[in-house]
Amino acid sequence: MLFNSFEYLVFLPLVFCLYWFVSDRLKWQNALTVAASCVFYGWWDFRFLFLIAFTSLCSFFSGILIEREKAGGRSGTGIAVANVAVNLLVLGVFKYFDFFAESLAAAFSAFGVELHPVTLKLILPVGISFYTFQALSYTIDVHRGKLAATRDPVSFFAFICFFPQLVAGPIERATNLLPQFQKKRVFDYATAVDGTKQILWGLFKKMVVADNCADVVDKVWLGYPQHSSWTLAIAAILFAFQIYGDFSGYSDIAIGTGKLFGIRLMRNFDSPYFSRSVSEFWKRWHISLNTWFVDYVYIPLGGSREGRWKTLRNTFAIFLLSGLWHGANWTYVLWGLYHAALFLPSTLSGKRVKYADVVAGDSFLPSFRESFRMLSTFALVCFGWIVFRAGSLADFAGYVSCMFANAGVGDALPGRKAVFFALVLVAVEWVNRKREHAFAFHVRRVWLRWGIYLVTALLCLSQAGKQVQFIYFQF
Amino acid sequence: MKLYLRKLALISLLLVVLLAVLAFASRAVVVRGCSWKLPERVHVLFLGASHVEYAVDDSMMASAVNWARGSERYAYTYIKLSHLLEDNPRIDTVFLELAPTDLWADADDKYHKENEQSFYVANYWPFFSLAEWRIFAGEPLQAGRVVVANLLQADNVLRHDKWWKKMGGHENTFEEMDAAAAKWEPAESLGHGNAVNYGYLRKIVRLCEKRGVKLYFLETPTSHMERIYDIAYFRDAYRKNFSDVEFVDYSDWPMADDERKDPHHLNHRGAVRFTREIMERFHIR
Repeated sequence: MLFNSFEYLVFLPLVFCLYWFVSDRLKWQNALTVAASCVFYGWWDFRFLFLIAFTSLCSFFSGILIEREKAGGRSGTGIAVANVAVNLLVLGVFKYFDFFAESLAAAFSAFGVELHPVTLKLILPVGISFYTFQALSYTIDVHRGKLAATRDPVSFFAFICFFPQLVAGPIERATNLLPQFQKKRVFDYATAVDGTKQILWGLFKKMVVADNCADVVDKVWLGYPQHSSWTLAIAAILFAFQIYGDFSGYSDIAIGTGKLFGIRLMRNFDSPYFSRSVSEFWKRWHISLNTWFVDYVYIPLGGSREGRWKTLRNTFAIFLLSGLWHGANWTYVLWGLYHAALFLPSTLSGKRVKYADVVAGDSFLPSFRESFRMLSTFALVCFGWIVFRAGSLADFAGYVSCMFANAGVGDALPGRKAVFFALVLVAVEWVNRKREHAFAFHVRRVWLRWGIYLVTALLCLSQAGKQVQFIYFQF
Repeated sequence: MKLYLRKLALISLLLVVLLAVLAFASRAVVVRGCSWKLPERVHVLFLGASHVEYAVDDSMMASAVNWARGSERYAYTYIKLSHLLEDNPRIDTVFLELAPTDLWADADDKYHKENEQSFYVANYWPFFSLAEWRIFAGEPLQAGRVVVANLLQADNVLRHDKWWKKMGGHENTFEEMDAAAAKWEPAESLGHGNAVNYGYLRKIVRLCEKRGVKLYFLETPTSHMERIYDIAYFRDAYRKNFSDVEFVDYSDWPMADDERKDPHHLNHRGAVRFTREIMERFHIR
């Protein structure tokens, strides 16, 4: 079920009313959450609910077994490793088997050995990377002793498959989300209003910004050799806004929906295109995934505490994994390596500027230096998005070479509407960059406040681009 | 909770009211601002869908206008024609496309949901009467969504050239058909024709009779690959339902591959030759 669909418009109020109707009984409320999540996911393909159930059951029982082992004086590492392996195996079979089989065959073919790889041609279950990582975080945290294993399967299933974030995150930590399902939720008016505003802003980002950009970007990519350098550059920039509007819009709707149900989901984006360095960008982009990799891969490998070369190795490791997490394609691997390479200068020189503050502080406009840093970071990120968007490495090479070679080609610059709404997005997010989300402002005059909401809703209805599935569903 | 639901209901209601107001205002702007007047010299019309859109080059004729548009269904053509005849009483001849796909077997699916019958709701809804709205009774959401999505696009009317282009016109293409690549897969058919399409074609026939306008059905030259459709069914449907209208059938008119855009449409070269033929045969200047 898509957030920007009529089905969801009916589904959400119905579940919301039922959820608070049974709010006196925690178990009923959690059971309703699980049932609603199954309907939400099953709307796409109910068969894959069994896969979620399998992942959930493995993690649920492994949590209990780990704790039992620990109580008996053992570490429980074997069980934790087994569960992580099973989860990764499921993910690997569904997502990566064909990719590695075909890549291996291609590698052998380069040496003149012809292999005929067995491929499974399986459908990629929506959101498998998201819920698998969420389940892994539970097992690891129980093993690390950060969290007590739960004995309540209903609250555990609610944690794994909570429908707002089931298919595209944020990837929640068990330490944050699970305890929320274990205690009584109380309806809070201010939180619900804030959640509704966040949903509205998320819909704007997805329907108006991302989908309008998608129209332009898809057309340009379809025949990129015929377009001018300017058009290709604009399409690359618009893709940056498409993916941001799409993914952060989804996250906003998910977090906003969570608030309606009294659940606080973690923040996933924090104005990433206002970053002054690539490292700052990664602290603000897809926060839930990046902190996951830092907590469960980077730090266990030694982080940045064991010298430059190990820091470099660890950086490349998490970006390589991050690239692969996004998809079974060499373009994602290259995208990950490209970002890891952007860390090279700061890692090798040992001079990494850490920005803890918000850009431009209390000023309305950034300084020249900040502007330059923001724009150069944005340019580097945009270049990375070209390889991310390309269907293959050949497409990437072709697109980039046309960007430089087609300077003399004359064609009309594309997508004025998309550019306009992308600028609106930048302006609104800039003004509200210190807030949790761009609609977290408070305007005292009711008519003005409601006017903003009505105009935004009207824009979502009237200016939306062609409905496109959320990009991150495929991951 | 009650306060939240009350406020949510209130703002939703306001949004609905705002949409309704915008819809009425937009309709008024479109209906008042749109001009159906054609130049005084024009007394012949070419209407229909993509076959005519590509095949008739009206720049070669002073007294005729081609206002066909790809995938246009007869409901829209009827609205267009009734306004054109109203505002241009000198029009005496209308050539209307009649292709196999227009009387196609089992066409309900082709014409409903997010496909051809819905294509031009955005342009024509301000001119809809209750009868036209009834076409979409089975898919009110789809039609509603298209209307809402176009509420803020009344600028089509304010920019006259844009409006005209949206409603139809000759499509000039220099593309050439790649005969080897063109697919020819016999389409499965059987079943019944689309009731809406048949109904509006009959309405067009009656309208022309009432106005004393000579109506011809026109099929433009198509390649043998057009025969993927059930031609026997098409001819039978014409004979049973519309044989009171003269059918100018050029479907088998010989043309070279380099005069076609694809198996179904002509390119510029083909359009020039075909238009010349029509001009000579019907004495159109």
